Amino acid sequence: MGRFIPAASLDRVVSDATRPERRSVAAEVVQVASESNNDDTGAYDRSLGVFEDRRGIGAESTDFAAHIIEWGDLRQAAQAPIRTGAEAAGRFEER
Amino acid sequence: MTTLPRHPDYRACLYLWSVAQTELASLGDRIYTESIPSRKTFPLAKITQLTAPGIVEGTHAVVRGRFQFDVYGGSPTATWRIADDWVSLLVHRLAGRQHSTDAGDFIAGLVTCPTGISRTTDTPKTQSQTDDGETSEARPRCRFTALIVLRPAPALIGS
Repeated sequence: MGRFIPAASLDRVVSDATRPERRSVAAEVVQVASESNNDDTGAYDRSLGVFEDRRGIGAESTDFAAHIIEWGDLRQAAQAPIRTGAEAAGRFEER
Repeated sequence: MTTLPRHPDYRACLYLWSVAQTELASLGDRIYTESIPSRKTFPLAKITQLTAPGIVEGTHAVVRGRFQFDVYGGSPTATWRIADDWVSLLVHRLAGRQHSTDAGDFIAGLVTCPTGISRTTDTPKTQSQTDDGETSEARPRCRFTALIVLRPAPALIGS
C-alpha cells in the first residue's frame, strides 16, 4: 500500500499552480458583474477589478457606494452584481 | 410538440406566500418587492430576487433562486424575531411542498440560508430622525439570503 506524504509547502505549490485559473475566474466575475447592474452606474463599472493580495485572488469594487449597489438599502433595491458574477462563474456558496 | 416548463414569477409567489403566513402577521402586508413607499410604517420587509440559474444547465426545468430578505425598523429584537421566523418558515414550511398562489403554483425543494441572519449595528446615523419622521434611514436591521430550489407545479408544465 502506498502512502501519500504531502510536501511541506503543498499549499504554496497548489496556490501557484492554480493562480492563472483563479485570476481568470475572478476576471469572469468582474465581466458578469459589469453587465449585471443598472446602466446608470458607469463609475461603479469602472471601479470593478481583479485583486491579488494577502486576501488571495478575487473580484472587488472600490466604488464608495458598492455596498449599497450590492446589498441595497431602504430606498434602493439590491442589484447584487458581484454575487451574480460569482454565480455565473461557478457554484457560488456564500460564507 | 415540445413540452415547455413555464415558470411563475417566483418573487411574486414568495411575496404572496409570505404575506399569508400568520407567523409574519406583525409585518401585515408591508412586504415589498419593488420600491418602498415614501411614507413608511415599520416594521417592513423587502424581497429581492437576485438570480435563478437552472439546476441542470440547459434544461430550464428546475431553478435555484437566490433571494435577499431585508427586515427594517422596529426594535433590534423585533426585527430579528421576524427574520428568524421567516427563515424557519422557508426551511420547514415552504421546502418540499407544492404551493398555490395567485401568481402561480410552484414546488419548492431544498431551502438553505447559507449565511444565516446578519444584523446591522445601530449608529447615530441609522438612529437619526429624518425630516419626514422616519427612523433607521440607512440600513436594514436584519438581512438574510435564501437559496430555494424551485420548479413549476405540474399544471404549469404544458406543451
